Amino acid sequence: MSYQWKDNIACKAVYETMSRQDRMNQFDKNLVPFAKAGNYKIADLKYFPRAGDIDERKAAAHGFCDGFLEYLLSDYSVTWEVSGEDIKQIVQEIVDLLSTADKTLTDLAALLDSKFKYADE
Amino acid sequence: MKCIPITLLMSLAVVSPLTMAADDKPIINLKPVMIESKELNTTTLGLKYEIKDTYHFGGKPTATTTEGQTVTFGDIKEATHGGNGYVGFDANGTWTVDKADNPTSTSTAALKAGYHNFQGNFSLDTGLDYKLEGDQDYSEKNSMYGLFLDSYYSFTRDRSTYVIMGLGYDKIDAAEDSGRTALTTTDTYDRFSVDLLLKYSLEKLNKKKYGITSLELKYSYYEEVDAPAAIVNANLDTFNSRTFVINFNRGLYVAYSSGNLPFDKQNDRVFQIGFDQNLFD
Repeated sequence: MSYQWKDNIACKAVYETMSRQDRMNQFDKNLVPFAKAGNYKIADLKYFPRAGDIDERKAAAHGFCDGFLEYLLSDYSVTWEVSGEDIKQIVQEIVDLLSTADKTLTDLAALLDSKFKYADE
Repeated sequence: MKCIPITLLMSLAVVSPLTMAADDKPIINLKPVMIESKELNTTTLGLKYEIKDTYHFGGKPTATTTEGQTVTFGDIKEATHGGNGYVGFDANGTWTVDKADNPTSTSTAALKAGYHNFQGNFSLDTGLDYKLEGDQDYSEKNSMYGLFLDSYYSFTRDRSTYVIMGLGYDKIDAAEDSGRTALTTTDTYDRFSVDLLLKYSLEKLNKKKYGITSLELKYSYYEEVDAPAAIVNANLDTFNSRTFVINFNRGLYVAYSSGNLPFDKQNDRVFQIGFDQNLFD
């Protein structure tokens, strides 16, 4: 069964980190309420370079991913979900997702939830 | 009077592209586009493709996860900031059934070997590449090898205002470019290129439903070094293209492109309006 966008810590963490003005500041919470944010596309995030080619999207996504993870990990208490995974490869998976126009915040929450165990889960 | 052809390209934004992307696996992006040429009075379906595969080597020893261990940004930084070598392949272009209907037909395929260094809000790539650059089926093409230097720098905390710049210097063999060989017997030459992407995002978010969120400018410039007079006179010594994008809230965007790259048709204006499903939420 595919991952569902719902009122849990994994989805809330993505939503808050993306939307808070003092975090990644990607969209206005009034225009994109939490209940509808699961379908929000990566291409519609403020940082996404629509005119960019694949290398440019990757470069922008890598920089963005770095800032996103810095805020998320400072705001939420997280442990690794499984042992033995290459940390660099995990980040690369997140970068790949953040450089893919038609992925959504639900896809991002699902990927992070498969790698991170949140303290309140 | 010179007639300036205008091409309207409407992206089929409501059609989901086929996308496969995973770590260290090939990335294949296929996106259908509808290309409408006002000059030719034709509408044709095109397929925009991007393929990329990269293998990284060197750099820091692999850091692995431990179940239950707290994840800190320091762990992430330690594992991902720094340099490594890589070799890779990429290809991109737009394919149409009849290539005469394709105004943006310049396609490229490249093998690259280089060094990548990532420092969070800054990254640098440099190395050597071998490329083919041609029309959509490479029946007309240049082959080339050269040096590249690509960089990314973000100016803001939210990493949403940044500049990406690529510089290249290539030695080109144009023996299979009939447009050029008809004009000159000099079929090898050097070329300098610049690619620039500027992204400016509003710090204070626009609260209007369709307010502007960000602006983008992409500019490419190619110049042949010491071009023969016949090439200069035919205006084939330099090429440039620019795309300007205005992004609005709720997935609406407007893009305008002009100029042309070496194997594009002379139709030199492309206007694109796109939207994602967010518009209807």
